[in-house]
Amino acid sequence: MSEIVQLRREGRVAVITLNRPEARNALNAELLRELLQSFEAVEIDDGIGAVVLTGNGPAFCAGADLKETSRTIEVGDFWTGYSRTNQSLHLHQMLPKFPKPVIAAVNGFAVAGGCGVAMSCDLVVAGSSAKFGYPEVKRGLVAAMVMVRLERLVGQRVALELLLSGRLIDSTEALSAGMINRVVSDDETLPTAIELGEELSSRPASALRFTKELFRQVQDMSYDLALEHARDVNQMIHRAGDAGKGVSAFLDSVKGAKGE
Amino acid sequence: MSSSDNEDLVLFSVDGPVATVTLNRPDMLNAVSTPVLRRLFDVFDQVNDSEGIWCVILKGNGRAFCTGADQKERATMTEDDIRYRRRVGPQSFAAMRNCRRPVIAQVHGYALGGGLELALGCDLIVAAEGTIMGLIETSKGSIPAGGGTQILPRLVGLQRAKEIIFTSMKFTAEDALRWGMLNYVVPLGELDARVAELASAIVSVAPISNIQAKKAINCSTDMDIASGVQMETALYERTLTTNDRREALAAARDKRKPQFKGN
Repeated sequence: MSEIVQLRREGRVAVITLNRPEARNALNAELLRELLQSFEAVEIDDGIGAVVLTGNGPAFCAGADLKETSRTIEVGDFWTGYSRTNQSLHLHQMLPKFPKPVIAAVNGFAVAGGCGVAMSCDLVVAGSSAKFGYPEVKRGLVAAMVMVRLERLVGQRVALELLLSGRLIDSTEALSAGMINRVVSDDETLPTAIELGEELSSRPASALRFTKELFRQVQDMSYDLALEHARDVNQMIHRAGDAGKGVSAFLDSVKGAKGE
Repeated sequence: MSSSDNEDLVLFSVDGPVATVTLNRPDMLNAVSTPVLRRLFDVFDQVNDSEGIWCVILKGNGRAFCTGADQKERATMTEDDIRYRRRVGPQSFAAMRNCRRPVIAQVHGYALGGGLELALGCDLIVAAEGTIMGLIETSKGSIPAGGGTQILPRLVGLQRAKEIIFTSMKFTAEDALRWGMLNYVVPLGELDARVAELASAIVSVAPISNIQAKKAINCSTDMDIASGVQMETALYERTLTTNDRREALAAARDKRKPQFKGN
């Protein structure tokens, strides 16, 4: 397979692999388009409960394809790289709204826009030699779209330091900053992410979907409105099929444990 | 779903700087299905990527602009389809608002439910006399979910928006004009010409100015005023380095009409 985005199934987990290893999986317009299409294919596939996103080769993703960008840049051109940045916008808007959990398996470098993609996933598993950061400023650029999510994840102090310094951090530091969930040995990165995906896939799909959706919605609401909306979702989910089955199974298991 | 399968559902044509997006299911009064929504999103993506399209017209083929959700499709939708629709629907209904270029809705016949919401998502609306309108979802056991509950109150105020939605009433373009929902109502026979005239006025100004102005104006409903004014300044600043701004200054100096190139 030589597609620049590969899609395969591991049980109920879809594994989407960025596959431009020679370019450290840099995001060009074509790769972004194929990535979005892969997610769409997975979205409507009932057999898939969770997605793992990873990179082929020594890097997870090196961010925007600067070769492509510099080809299109002309001074004063309002349109520079618009198609790519527009696809990138779609990706960052889609990931939080994607109805199934998305886990990034970060092998190696996740820098600039590549770090941004990992941060836009719901959970992140990283190898011990993975590196994270936003070196855009060192190249005279701005880590623009990716700062939106970063600030919400790690708060202003950590976010500003990373964005202004351009410093790369290792997975241990990323873990303590709250950017990622787990650090494992490099070899174990993808298997751990898939295992986590399998575990999540065993949960009722609607419970996962509504949890993720509500979590996203409450971020942007006032405190009282968030609580009221959460109450309504709570009430609705109790009536939905999966909840009923889940609750009676739980009650049965309690009875079983008590020997009733 | 590949977008090429859906190309005949929504037609896309470009004439000079004006693009026309035409809902094209006349036998179904342009009912909105998931493939229609997906295709609309792709079409407006194309507009956003184009340097040469400076204004967009959204209209419907046949007897009506659009009568809303495809009820036949609704009856056969699985839970997966509904889930997908829930994600794709809002982004498609927002496509006209998120489009960088000004979008004019050209409305005739009927604009009901999701059909009216498509029009409400546009920047300007011109309707034919006697066009029947309504957000009638509440009479079908749901609510407007194409942005209607958010956009309508901003146009006509809370009281009128609640009356329209709570009662599922139908009203005419003439009513809608009086309530501030539309820009113009004209006889059906003059609709094409009036919209073309409006589009040509829009493409006569500096195109990047309209991009920046649209963003700034949209901020006025999305942000508090202090943040909005800051956005306005940032958006203004970006216009100063464009070739068209230099052209406008040169034209004023030479007492001639500026020739804008959109860069």
